[in-house]
Amino acid sequence: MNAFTRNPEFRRNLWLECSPQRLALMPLVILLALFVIGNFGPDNDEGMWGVILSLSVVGFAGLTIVWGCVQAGNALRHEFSDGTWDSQRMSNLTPWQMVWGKLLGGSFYAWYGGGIFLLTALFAATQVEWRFIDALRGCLGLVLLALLAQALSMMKTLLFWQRRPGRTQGPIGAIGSLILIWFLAGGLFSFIGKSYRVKMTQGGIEIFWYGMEMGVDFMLLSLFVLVAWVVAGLWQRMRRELLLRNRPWWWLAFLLFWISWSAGFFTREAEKVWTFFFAAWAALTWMSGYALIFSEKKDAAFWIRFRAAWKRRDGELLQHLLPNWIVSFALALVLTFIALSLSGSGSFFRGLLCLVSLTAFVLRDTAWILWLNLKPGARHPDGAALVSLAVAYGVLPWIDARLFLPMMNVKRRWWSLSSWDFSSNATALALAIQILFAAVTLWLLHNRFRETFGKGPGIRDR
Amino acid sequence: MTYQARPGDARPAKRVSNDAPPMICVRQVIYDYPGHRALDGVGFDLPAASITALVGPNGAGKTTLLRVMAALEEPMYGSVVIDDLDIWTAPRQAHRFMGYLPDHFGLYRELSAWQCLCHAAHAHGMDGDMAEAMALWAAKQVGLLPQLEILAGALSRGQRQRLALAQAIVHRPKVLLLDEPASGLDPEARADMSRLMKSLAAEGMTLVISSHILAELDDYCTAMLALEQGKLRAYQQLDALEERQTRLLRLRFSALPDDADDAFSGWLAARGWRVVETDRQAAALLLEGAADADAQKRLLRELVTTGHDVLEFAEHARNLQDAYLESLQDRRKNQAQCP
Repeated sequence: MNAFTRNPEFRRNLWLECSPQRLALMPLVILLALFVIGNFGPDNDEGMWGVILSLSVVGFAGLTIVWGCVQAGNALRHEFSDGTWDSQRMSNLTPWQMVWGKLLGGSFYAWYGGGIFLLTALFAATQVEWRFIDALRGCLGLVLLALLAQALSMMKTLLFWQRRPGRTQGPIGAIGSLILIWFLAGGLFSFIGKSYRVKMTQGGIEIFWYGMEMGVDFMLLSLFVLVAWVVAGLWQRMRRELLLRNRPWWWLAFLLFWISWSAGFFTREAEKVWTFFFAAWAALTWMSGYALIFSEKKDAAFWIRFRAAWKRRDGELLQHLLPNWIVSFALALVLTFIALSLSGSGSFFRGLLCLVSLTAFVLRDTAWILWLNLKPGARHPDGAALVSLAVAYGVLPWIDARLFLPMMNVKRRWWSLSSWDFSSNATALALAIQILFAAVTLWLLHNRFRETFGKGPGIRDR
Repeated sequence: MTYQARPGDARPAKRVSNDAPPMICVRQVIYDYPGHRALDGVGFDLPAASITALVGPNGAGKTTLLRVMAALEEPMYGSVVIDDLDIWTAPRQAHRFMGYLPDHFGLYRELSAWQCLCHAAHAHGMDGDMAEAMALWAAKQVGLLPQLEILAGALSRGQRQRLALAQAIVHRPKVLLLDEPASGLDPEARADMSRLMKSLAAEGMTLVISSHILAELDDYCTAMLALEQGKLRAYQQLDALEERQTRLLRLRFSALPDDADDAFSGWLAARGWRVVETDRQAAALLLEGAADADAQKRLLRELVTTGHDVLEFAEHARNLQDAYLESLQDRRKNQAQCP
């Protein structure tokens, strides 16, 4: 307890959250609600204790996941909007103190009520034929899920702030929060729902991971590791706010964990197992790269700073500033190359050509997104990039396939790379066009960079 | 309760002699916003225990400079050394001996003033009795002892300003950076602020205070830094100004003499007075010359006996605003001469 009260941030949150009246009110309201609904509420197969168990779980979810998420996000959001963030950044608080002080302190009252619900759920579960150890596992799962949701909510707030300093979350961010909560609540109820209870009493849930049958303990362990990664991510982001320099290895380590863990749920036994694994990992890494390039800060101010660090040959600062999407795309290219090489359906040369094509593809998209972001006075550059890419990859090919190809009585455009027939001249030409597109967008980006950096005397001149 | 500093704690700096190394060294700082250079090669040295006014029009780069000096914004180029520590090599370490008051107050409105101060002390690494002692010291310095139990959100604007200042000094920083600290304060609160600034400097703190209302700073600043369009236009020790003040005379006539430009100026020069400024609308002249009272008496007598209708004859106090405007005029003259 000493560690808790010695953390100034946690203590400040306790001052804000815990008045004697509030502390007395919460158990009174919860116990009264459980008593009334348990005795006079709807019937349940498992009797009064079944009702109390369900109500306790819903109450816990409502308090710690829904309200807890809001509170955890607010622990940071209020610092930004009330202008107290600068004094926090100039304090002696360590990033770790800040993270857990805000994460647990900001939602302390929600945890207080959630703890009471958890005790009633635990007791009610033992009354409806649950083994105590299974009930305990269920409660642990709930706690980890709530922690994960709150940490994600806080991470979202921090990322939003770092991407657009000076602005707190708007309506789109709020919608994002609701989707997050809905998603987690869905997971929660499937986790502790009736099927879980039935299967629990019959010996556990069936989960397949890389073709292996896993149990509830695997799920609990997974949740624990996910919570640890999100908290580690918060810690890294908080270090950035507190002017401490990060290394890109953290993101790379997380990425390797994430793709290894999540690909396990999509893979089944196949003839070419390793090809399939690498393909799944590559696909997930590509997705992470595209998600990051839209979510990370990449405006002109960022590139001015990056360029200044480059000119000073400040390797430590460059590592700190290195965008995570570059790490993701680099790893994605490597994984794709390995997957193609292992597929055995072509030569090494074929794999290399694919790699060149994919590199050109990602360079083109990246250059286009950055070009839009570096436009002076651009209002919603990422929205514009999303729409233009959706049109380029979705709408235009669809129109082409439905309208023009039937009119010309051909099945496929000659420049399409979808056939992956690297022996034909048409494919070589298609590859050349791919490279040309990349070169054009890179040229546009180069000009935009020159416009951005061309203002005033250069730093190198000094 | 008395404060006893722990070893390694941020302690107030001692007053240093003029030949001591400067407390703050800013070198060639460049800070860019997209399409706009906010600070362009700014550099200066400030001595310990000085109070420096950072002045300039809106958008001159004052807040950016303060934030760079506070190690809150990293410049693209240049260095800031405070008390022999390059703050960008160890910003967290630098924060231990720096205080910063932003132009918005930055208070936890739902906490009492006492809780705000205790939290600030705890957040700066103090604990238990020491944190309370420092919170009390800071409250006393800003004259907030009677309001300690009131919620920060319920305090008046002036009181919130003082509470924010108390938070910034609760760890007794060596360097205190204040962004528009007196804006919106009533005259009495400004006088209190002036006393407080002097007393903090007397304790050894080095203060840099930004404002675009120069009258606020006139009372207590010892030096002036003028910024314009991200460039340092002037750095002036105001001690020199005080010396010059006694040598300035303001004369106002019912109408300016016809020969005010040439012959009258020559007449004045022969008596040891130089025309510094001519205000034709007010029919007034600002003269620089001998400091002694006899010379002034002689001048007045001769003016009257030569038939000039003198309506006003008074020593003129040159203030910060005069110095600032003069520095701008000098620069514009130089620009005109060297296009």
